[in-house]
Amino acid sequence: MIKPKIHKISEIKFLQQENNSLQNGIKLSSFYNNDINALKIDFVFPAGRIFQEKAFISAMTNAIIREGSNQHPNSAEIEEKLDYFGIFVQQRIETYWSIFSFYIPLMYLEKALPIIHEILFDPIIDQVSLDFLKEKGKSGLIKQLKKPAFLARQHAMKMLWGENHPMGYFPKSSDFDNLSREDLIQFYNTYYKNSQFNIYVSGNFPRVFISKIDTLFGQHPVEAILPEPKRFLKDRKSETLIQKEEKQVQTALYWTAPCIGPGHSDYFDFKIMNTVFGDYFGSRLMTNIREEKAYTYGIYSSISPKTTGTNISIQAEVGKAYLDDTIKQIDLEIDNMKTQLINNEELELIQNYMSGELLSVFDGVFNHASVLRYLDEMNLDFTYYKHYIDRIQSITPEAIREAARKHLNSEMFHKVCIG
Amino acid sequence: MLHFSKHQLANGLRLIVHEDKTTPLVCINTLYNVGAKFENPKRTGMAHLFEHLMFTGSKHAVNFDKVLEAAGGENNAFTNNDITNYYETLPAINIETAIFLEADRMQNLSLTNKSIKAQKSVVIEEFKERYLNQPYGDMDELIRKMSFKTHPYRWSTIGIAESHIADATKSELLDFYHRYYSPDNAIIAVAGNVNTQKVIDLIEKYFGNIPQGNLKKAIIPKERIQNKQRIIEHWSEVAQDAINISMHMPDRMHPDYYAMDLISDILSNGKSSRLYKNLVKGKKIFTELDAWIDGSIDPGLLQIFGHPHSKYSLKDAENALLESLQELHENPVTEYECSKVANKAVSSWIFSGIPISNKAFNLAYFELLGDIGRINEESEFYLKTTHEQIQKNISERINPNQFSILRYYAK
Repeated sequence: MIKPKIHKISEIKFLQQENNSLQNGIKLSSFYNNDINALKIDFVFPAGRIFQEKAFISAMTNAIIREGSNQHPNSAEIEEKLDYFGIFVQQRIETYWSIFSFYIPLMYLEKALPIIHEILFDPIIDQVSLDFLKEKGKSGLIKQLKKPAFLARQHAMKMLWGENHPMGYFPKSSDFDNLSREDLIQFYNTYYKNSQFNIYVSGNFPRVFISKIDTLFGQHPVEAILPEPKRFLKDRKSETLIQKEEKQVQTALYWTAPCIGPGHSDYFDFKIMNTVFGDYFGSRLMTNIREEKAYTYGIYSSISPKTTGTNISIQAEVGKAYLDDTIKQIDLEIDNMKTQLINNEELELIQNYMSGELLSVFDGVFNHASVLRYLDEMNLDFTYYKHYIDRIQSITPEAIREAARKHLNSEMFHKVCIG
Repeated sequence: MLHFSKHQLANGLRLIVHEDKTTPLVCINTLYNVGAKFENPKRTGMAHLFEHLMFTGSKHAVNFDKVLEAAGGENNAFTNNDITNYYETLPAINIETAIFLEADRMQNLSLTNKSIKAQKSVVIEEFKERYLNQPYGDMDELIRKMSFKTHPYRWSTIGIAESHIADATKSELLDFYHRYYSPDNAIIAVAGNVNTQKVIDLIEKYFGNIPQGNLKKAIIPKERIQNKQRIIEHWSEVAQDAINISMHMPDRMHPDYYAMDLISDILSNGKSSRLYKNLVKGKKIFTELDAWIDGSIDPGLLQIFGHPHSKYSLKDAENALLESLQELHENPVTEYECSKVANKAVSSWIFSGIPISNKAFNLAYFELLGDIGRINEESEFYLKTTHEQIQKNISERINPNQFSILRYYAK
């Protein structure tokens, strides 16, 4: 049996979105594909965690919007309709965004829009629902606070952003008690009702659908001026926290540090370097610490780019007895990235792996909509990916080593070990 | 309508191909008819451990992941109580690399002492991370032990104990490989930007010479009918009490399977479901409540899991839940309720069928079930389930005498 020849991926085709503006200036981007009998609409509000003055207000506002409207104070009546028409709703908050995604079977598209409008723009925000959500939130948090991996991440975020920053604040269950209905109403008015939100439509829809969206969603005044989100502090001294827990059989390790972001000229090199180091299954960290030493089920190094600052994090849950050597091995792998050139075989592998990964990122209209949302957040456009692909194809072992030399070292990390 | 064509090699390997010209990718899904239910009760966790070993290199591909990654692909695998399933998604131009890799590891896996030792440790760390170090991580095992007395669904795929994994010998693993990893025990489904004839030729080229295994059909003990309620009380280091009620249901191909799936949806799928409206949002006795079917091939379980609100004791919450289940008998499911959950099941089926990896898996899975045509009738099966049929299943199967109740207390 002979190993087949591998073909290089020379180009990646992007689908072109259609851009529309509603009467009130709200941006609507759409990707069309009539091969599927369904579509997805994302409503994306700048109402993520980074805007919150009080802990959990972003998540609680996101949740309460679904709990009844002025027209139907009993949310069950709205939920009945959503369920009957087979409409799935996903709601979540990210750092910057609060996102409502509606998955709609094509045959119920007509029915869906008025319900969506009612949910998003006529929520009742009542005390009963708030109390209900607070209890649910507390119960969820209590569970999380028992998980070493959650604790380790929270401590690391505190070190990275500072404890007074919305992203660095260490949550406690009594925080829910400090939230009032008025707080939520105010948050809703600023960050949802009057804000500059975005709409992304992907899948199969008739042309007239866009004007129907305009009729419903183009009437709201867009007037709120959002505060500039706070950046994290770059010159904080790195900290270390080791917390032993007798009862745990594993230790959760979480390292994090500020790093260069998409605006920096070395960013693509740094990202490619990090992929070699720890961002895919065949990475240096995974090969050494999981495959060869079997200290862990998984270890990753990942970069999280945000407009407010980009950070790199290394995380793993390792057998307790292996913690010291795991740390030694991470340092060793960092050192290898800085001192040695990767060979041609690994270079070619990483180039093909990353190109293939991008091909899946751009597979299908739903994925395109998600990518565009990310680009909009970062104030980038599809040429970003064009340059990224070009750099993946042209990167050299020297450039990878240089990126590690300039932008990666063990001392820059805040280090947390719990368990 | 999902179009596909079906082929079989002389050695018994079954192949399904679906052409989709809208994607630049292809997914190759290889399903082996071996899951935890085929294991020796004294050596559980083998199917899952073996899934790990399948990534440790074969004669012509020393490092499986590296070869695939070099072709721009990514892959994953899972083991459950019924099957072990592997898939690779990669640029369609490199399909041959994935086929080569699957064929080489089916025939020429290099099982070395070193790789066995390493993967045993990784699996033991996984055991700790997902089952021991995780709050409620041991629930699945407790539920299975209580609900199944003879059928091998009584253990989880990770295995009964770490020692089963630690003590597995090389010769046991070789035996497992030769027994189950043969072409006549596998189904390959290919979905993506391909030409069917070219795929058939490639599969012939790489798999055609692998000898068939002649595996005898396993005889799996049937579970006896449960006619007495079972209760287990368990204490653990968790933050909150929890309850799980499980009950038996028919096998995957049984006509009542769909009715039971819809019953679980009537109970808890979405915010208009009965348990959510009644016990979570309404009386606020539970903060979380969920019902689902495990979807196994042999008769499996419908399960209900919940956390009581801090104001209620576990016992009170349990009683409220039992009362709500009793209401299914007294307050029958309406025609409207039945259409609602069926519509939602169909919608969920449409959305889950969009990614090529799901298409490839579904094709292989329905072929294993013995009727691949069902893949295009699945929606129909939900829509034609009547509320009378649902009510009949409620009377026959939602019976407190057949419940297994796990009371999981926070220490």
